[in-house]
Amino acid sequence: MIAIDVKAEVGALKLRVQLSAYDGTTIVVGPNGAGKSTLLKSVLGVVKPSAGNVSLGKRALYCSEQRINVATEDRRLGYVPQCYALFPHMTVLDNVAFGVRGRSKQERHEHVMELLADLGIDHLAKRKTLRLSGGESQRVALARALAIKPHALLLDEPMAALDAGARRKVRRFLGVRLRAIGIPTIVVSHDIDDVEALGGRVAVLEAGRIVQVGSLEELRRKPATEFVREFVAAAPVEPPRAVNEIQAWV
Amino acid sequence: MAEVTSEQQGQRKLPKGLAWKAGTAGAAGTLLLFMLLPIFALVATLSWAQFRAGITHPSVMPALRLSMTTTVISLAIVVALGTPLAWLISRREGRVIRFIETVVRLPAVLPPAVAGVALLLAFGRKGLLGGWLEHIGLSIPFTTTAVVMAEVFVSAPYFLQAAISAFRSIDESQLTVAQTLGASPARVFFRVALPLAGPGIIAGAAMSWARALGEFGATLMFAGNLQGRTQTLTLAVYSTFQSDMRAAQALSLVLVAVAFTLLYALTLTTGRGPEARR
Repeated sequence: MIAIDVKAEVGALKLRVQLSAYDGTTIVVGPNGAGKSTLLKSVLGVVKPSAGNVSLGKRALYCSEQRINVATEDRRLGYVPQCYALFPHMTVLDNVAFGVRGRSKQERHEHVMELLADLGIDHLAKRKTLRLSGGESQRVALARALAIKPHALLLDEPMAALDAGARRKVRRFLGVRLRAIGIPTIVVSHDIDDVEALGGRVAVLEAGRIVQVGSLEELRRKPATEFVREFVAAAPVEPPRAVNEIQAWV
Repeated sequence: MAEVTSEQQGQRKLPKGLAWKAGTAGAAGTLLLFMLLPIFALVATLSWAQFRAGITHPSVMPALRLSMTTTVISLAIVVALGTPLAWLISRREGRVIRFIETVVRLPAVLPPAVAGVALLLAFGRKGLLGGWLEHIGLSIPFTTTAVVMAEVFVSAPYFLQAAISAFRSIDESQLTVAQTLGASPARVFFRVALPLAGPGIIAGAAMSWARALGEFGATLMFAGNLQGRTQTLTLAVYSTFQSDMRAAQALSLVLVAVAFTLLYALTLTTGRGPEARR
């Protein structure tokens, strides 16, 4: 579980967030400028909170009282940023192997190839990342984040860089994947379709504060703010897809 | 009122378009001609025999050797020390950084003679560090070391400016991702930042080297014009110009050829952008 209780100020934004992300997916939604990415960055340690705590299980990543601030590189959090940020000067294989340590070259190679095969992209291993489609780039970014065997996963707007067609496929792929991974996962989004496809708990962030946490159903039944009401109203109510239909996409 | 046909409209637009085309072509052509003519004159007014005689002038080889040695050393210094400085400046913001950035850019816009005076006042025998340098048995002015120092001083800004903007243009999230993957700050720098900023850094190094090669004023004032010791190619052009015009011309041609080759190669490598590197 990631327990977040932080205060942070970045420019005009005042972030005051208390949020627990359990095993499984927590989707943080909110309007532009609500502080969603800043929240992720304060968990990653890129933005230093002015006060509070961030812990991962029993391990404190940040604690202002005890003056604990674990460096980003030591937090072991898998991160997939908005535009995936693949390293363009490396092949897919080298991108994914970047964070893998402490094994022989052969073992590293095998570990990475296994992971690529698991995500259905082993045929791309030797390719330069500039030659990948949006959906492929996202899988590589996910593989790279998973390669370090992270204790938690943070995804910032994973669909934002995709066109509408790719988005549908990738949503289904990610929904199944994230459920299978089973570690605490925070996904930032501003799109109700992502929430529908990925499932899990939804936390609504507005102007730096969490205004509601619950399932999509709970949000629909009792929206806490006008934004939540409009956000859930944008979604067509569909029966959940059969699992085998989803897996056909993966 | 008679209806305006599309043909008439076309006729009305045509002179307007023509005036614009003629105006831009005229302006562009004038400046291009003005810039090409002196280079053309350098090439066209020298016969092959005169060129060969010119470059065998006794001051040429020592000057060429000195220029090559000192510019390679000054480039190595600028790149080795300038890359960390550019990285540090690019990673920070605020008033102090803006001030430092202005200071490191300053030598690029200073008149070279001012740079020479400034170097003398800092490292000359009666300069700020002169007493101390003399105490440890060092006298810098009018030595080859002074040539290298003058070159570093005037050429570093070209490298720094390019390297700073190359580092700044890196997508921040690529550096963040590298950190989250467990990379130490050194690994982030060497494995991610440096390769991504590589083309910009190489372009900066090439410009910096070209500037060092063409350095004249600061070298003349701080290092003098001693053949074999401080007389670089540009200083040799100046000296031979007074005695043997053709030798000066031949030397100038060598410099033009080097500069053109460098710039053209740079245009070829940096003009293509990341798409071409696929």
